[in-house]
Amino acid sequence: MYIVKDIYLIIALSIFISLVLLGIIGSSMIRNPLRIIGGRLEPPSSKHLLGTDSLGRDIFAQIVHGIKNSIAVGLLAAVIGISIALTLGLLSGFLKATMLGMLLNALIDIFLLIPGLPLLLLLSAIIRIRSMILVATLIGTIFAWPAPSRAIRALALTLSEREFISLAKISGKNTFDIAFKEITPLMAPYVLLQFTAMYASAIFSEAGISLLGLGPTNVVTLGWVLNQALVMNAFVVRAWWWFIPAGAMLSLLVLSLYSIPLIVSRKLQLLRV
Amino acid sequence: MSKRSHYKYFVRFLVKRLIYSLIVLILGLNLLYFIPRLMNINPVDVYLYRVLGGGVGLGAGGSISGVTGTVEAVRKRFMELFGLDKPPLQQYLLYWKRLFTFDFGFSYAEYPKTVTSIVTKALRWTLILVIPVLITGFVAGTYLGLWVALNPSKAKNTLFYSFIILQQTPYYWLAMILIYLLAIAYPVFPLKGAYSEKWLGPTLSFDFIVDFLWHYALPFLSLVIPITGGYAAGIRAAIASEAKSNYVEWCILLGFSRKRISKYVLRAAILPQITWFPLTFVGLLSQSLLVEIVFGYPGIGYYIQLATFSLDYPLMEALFFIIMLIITFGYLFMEILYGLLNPKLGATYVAEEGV
Repeated sequence: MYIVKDIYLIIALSIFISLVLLGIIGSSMIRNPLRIIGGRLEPPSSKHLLGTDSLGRDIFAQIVHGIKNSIAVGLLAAVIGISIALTLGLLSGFLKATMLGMLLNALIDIFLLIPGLPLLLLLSAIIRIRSMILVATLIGTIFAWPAPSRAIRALALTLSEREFISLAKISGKNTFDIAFKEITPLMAPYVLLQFTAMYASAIFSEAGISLLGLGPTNVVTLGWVLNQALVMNAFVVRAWWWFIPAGAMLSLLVLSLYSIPLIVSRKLQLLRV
Repeated sequence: MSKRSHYKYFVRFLVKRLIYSLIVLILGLNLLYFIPRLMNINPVDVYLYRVLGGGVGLGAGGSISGVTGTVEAVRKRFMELFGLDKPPLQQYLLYWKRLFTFDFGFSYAEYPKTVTSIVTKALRWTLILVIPVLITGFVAGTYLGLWVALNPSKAKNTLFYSFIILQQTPYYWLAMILIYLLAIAYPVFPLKGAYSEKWLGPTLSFDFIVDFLWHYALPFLSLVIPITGGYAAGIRAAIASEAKSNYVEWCILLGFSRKRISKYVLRAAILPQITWFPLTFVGLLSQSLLVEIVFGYPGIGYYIQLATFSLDYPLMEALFFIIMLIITFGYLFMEILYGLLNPKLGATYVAEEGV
């Protein structure tokens, strides 16, 4: 419990949770963020909290929906990514002497070298209609998992040297049983931290490709808002309320999420995330 | 361990890395070939559709219907030009020929410029942006981090935390803010491009260079500020962890001067900094692509957006090919650098190989 008493952790967690709440509650109250609702490029007022864009759509609505969708995409991508990372890292670490282990090892190292963003861009450019789920899956399966996988593998390597593992092997337990039921609980806190870091970077990546117009085509995300601001030259017309809040929300989201594993790992003196 | 066995491990490591890099390259290039073609769209048809407007119909499966006369002739000509009328295997081999000779023909979006001319120019602009950023960021960041670490104070700590925050902020957003502040609200710098429109092309004149630097300032700043912050944070963390080790305490007990101790600590701390290099290089490259787009700076990023949106397949192929080459060999180069600089090389790789 002493971890929770760290003031920075509390700040980071509360920022993240309040953003999530803002996204969920806000988007359930505001039906359609793309409804043309006011005059064009109106600065923030009591009617439109964050003003309108050049088509007259409410920016606050866009941001609220954007937060929710960015969070959702990041979550899905991170879940997929951590599953792959955990499985491959665990198996390759645990089975390090076997053929399968070495093969997985090589696979992880090779995937680490694949340039993530260009490949993601290429895929997104070719597939013209992209659902939120598709984008999340792409992010998760292509480049979210290799780096954490390597760290998990290192951890699995050290853990598999322990005596109780040898005991388990002697007592005839199935290899997969040992891997998943004995080692995983020990790695759980570390894996959770990796998950959080992966989550933050997934949100970041989604925003990056959305900025280019290559993100999900069926929902509004924070990156999409920034893309609209870019394409419609928000800064030329001095519409600071368009892109500054969106980017600020994005930064806050990524920052608060990313600080959590940093702070916790420092507190617990775990291996560096 | 003798020096000779050091090299043996190093060479083994290098060969392994080289093989992996080649595998990734080949894998990536194959993906680059198959992904666009998987979608069953004929690029020539897309181009014709775009150019001819509503005159032809883009039927299901992306093939043109209702073409007659001259359009048909043009279509035939283009198909020949891009080898699209040849059997699949030959097309595949033609692809590899294109890659090796680096001749991708004409670009669709910027016809009649050739792809090669566009890509070489774009590459030049991107490298002019990225390399100075990397060097400046590393040097400035390391010095800054050193300064913060060796003379800690409350003010410096808050400065340090703001660095970490800056590094996590999306660079392109920072770019947008900078544009707004310094190009619109207080118009100090220009909005877009690498040079003003009055120039036909880069010339070696003083006026041009001044104009270029004026345009260069904002993109440079949007990248260099977060990078510096990142490196500063990195070295401060490295120093902080080194300062806890035994030999430092021993030195303090022995009465060594602060200056001397910091010299030793720096030597040890610089190593993780250099390890960081490969990761930051790829990250910087990806982020700079996005920043280029925000500024309309005619580098690789800018042309990638152009190519993907106008479905300019030759240009897309060439650009992604170049990026893959840069990233793959950039990594390899960094790994070699790290291998050469690390005095504990033999021991490290023994551990990793599980010997």
